[in-house]
Formats: sequence, C-alpha cells, structure tokens
Amino acid sequence: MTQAPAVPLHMRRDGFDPVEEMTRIRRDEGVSPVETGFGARAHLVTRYADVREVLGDATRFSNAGAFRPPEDDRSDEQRERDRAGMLLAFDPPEHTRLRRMLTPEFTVRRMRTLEPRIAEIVADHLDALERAGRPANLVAQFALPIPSLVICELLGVPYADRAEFQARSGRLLDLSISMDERRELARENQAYMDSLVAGALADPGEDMLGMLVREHGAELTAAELSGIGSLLLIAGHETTSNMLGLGTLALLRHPDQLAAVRDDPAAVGPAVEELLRWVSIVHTGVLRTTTTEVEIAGRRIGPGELVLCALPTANRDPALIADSERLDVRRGAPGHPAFGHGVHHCLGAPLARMEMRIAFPALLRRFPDLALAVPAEDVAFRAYHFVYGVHALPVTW
Amino acid sequence: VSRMSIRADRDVCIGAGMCVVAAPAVFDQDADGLVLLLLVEDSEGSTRPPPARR
Repeated sequence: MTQAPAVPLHMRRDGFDPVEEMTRIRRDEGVSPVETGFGARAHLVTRYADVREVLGDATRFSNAGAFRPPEDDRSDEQRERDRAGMLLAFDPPEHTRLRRMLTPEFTVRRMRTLEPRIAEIVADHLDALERAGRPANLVAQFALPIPSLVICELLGVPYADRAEFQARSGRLLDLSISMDERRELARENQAYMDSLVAGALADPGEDMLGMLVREHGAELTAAELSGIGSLLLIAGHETTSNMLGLGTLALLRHPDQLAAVRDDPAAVGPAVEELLRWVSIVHTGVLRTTTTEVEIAGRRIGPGELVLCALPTANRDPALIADSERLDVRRGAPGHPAFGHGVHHCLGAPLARMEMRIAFPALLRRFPDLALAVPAEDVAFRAYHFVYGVHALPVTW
Repeated sequence: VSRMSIRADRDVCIGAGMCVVAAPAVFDQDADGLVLLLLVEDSEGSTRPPPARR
C-alpha cells in the first residue's frame, strides 16, 4: 500500500474552516511560499483584495501556464491537443473567443427557462429518497445525481453513462492518485467525449454540443468541442454536488439558519451566497503565472513565477465581511470570490445558483426534520480532493 | 442626494451575469450574454431608467 501524500498547506482544512496557519498567513504576511502538491513552488495569496487583484488582471497573471511539472513528458503536440477547448488554459484573446461562444447558454435569463425542469429533477430525487426510506446517503442519492443529470441534459451527454464518467471525474480530481493513473483517466475521458462530439457533428441535437456544432461548427475543431464538453461536464457536477452536500451539512449544524432557509422563501437567495462564501469548495488554489514583475502584499514576485490564490481564506477575510468566520445566511450577498473573479469567473455560476436555490429549500421542506444519521464527527471530509466535500452524508428524518 | 453614474464596457464584458444577480433593476444581459444597462444617463449626468421604462 502506498502512503497518501501530505495535503499541501493551502488545502488543509479544519472541517469547514481554513486551518489556523492559513488564517495566520492572511493576517501577518498575506503572501507566503508554498508547495503546490505537483512538484512546484508557488506564492500563496490569501487576502480578499489581493486575490481579486490577481484574478482580475489576466495580463499580468496568466492562465496559459508556462509551468510544466517535471514528470510531464507529453509532446508539445499532445499538450496542445489536451488543452484544446479548455477555457481555463487560455488567456484573452483566445479565451475570449471560446467564452463568447458559451456565454449565451449561461445567461441569468436562460437559466430561468431551465427552472421548471430543474425543479422536476429535484422533486423526482426527493420522491426516490422518500421511497427508499431512511437512513439515506444524501451525497449519492441527492447531491451528486441532481447536478449530474442537469448538466447531462444541458450538454447532451447520455445520463446512462453516468456511473462511468462520475467515477472517472471523481478520481481525476483526487490529488493523491499517481501521474500514470491521472494520464490514463484523462485519456479515457477524452476518448469518451470525442465519441459524443463525433455523434453531435454527424447529427447535432438541441443540446449544447449540438448548438456549438450548428452555430460555431466552422470555428471550432473537434478537439476544441471535446475539451469544452469535458470541462463543462466535470465542472457541472463536481462543484454543485459538493455545494449541495456541504451546504446541507452546514445548515444541519446551524438549525436556526436551516429553519430560515426552509420556512422563508426570501431567505434562500442570500443563504446560497453565504453558503458559497463560508463553505468555499474550490480549495485547491487558483493558479496563475506572472508575466512580469509584480508586487503583492508588499512582496516582489518575479516574472514566470506561480501564484496560487486561496479562495477559502479570501472568503473568510474580515476585509470582505465583518465577523467573517461566522455563518449567517441572512446576510448573504454576491461579491464573494467563491466563483472566482475576472475573465475566468465561473461560466456556470447562474446555473449553480439556480440549482441550489431550488434544491436546498425543496429538500428541507420535504424533510422538515432532516438530521444527521451519524455523530457529526463521523462525517469525513475529502481532504485530498480538488473540490472540497464529504465522502458521504448519512441523514435521517 | 449623491449622484451615481454607470457605464458598461461591453468590449471587456465576459457575461458572467454577476451584475444581473447583484442589481437586476440596473443591469440585464443581451442574447449573447453581454451586459445591457437598464438605466441611461440624462442631461444632468445622472442615471435614470430609459424613458420608455419609466
């Protein structure tokens, strides 16, 4: 049995909270050298204002990533193939070109047209939970399948294939797997999406892959279509599912706030924003490469260096909100960096918000006495995972 | 009374929709997802709803 690697400092959490050392760095020096966990060192940026500055400036802080892990022996050609369509691997203007093709699909108004179908999907899963009876695993029976089905329908991915791609993306986002396994999983993922893209090219449907083929088929290569599809599929279910799981756990630990979300429709929107801020599921650190000498929190950083933005500490920065360590769903408001900031701000944020605004109150109204089925300390957090979450959430009602 | 002036730069807009979430009475998105102002600047330089919307 191989030993699990140490969790890098910036990913260490104490339950929902950043560890004390991370909070200390934010208070004292603001920026600190850190091991990234993939064989490179980076400057960890921990404060809200600095995170906003880095993420808001794609000119000085690049996503196109000159950095290459030592064990990455792919050919240049293969690397280009692998990043095709991956919006997060490009800077403007290449990034802008891809993003502008997708933006119309994720407008706030467009999301409203999906609302009835999302509500139906949520209700179906609540029915199934009720039929299966208590206790239930809320991750496997609610938090994962709902966003998964939503993104499958939106993208045009057969939901029947879910077991396969959920297992793959779950493994891919696990920090502790070997480079060999990661490469193999990435290869399988690419082959799977390539086959869906081939189908969409031959017979474009009403889904997003079909739309991209019909409206942008001449501008996009098959590799780009496949990259866009892979990114949206992973981003669409890992993130929202962990917000639903961790968000529910957070509410269960704050019963008066749970009651507000359950009983007051006006409390739901702010509650979603506060949960996004307080839970911070993207805790791997958002990576950028400096293109020039920069200064962050009084520290000079040369060109070509890695900068890692810590969203959990930025989200708990007293400069963002007073009494920042406390969860208070009544005061929630957009403006937190949980979805990132700048040109790479989460494309799917309006979809994620819509899913959460429907799913949280629906769950709590169906099961007004929802409670953990195990002692709170037995709920295991996923420390090694790129997206923070819990392995399982046993509940009863 | 403090005056507020709002300008939207559609050339740099990425269509995240944050503005619509934060202030739906002020901002909207067009069919391409880019920002639209629901308020216009009047002759005194303050922003008000366009005449048709008042």
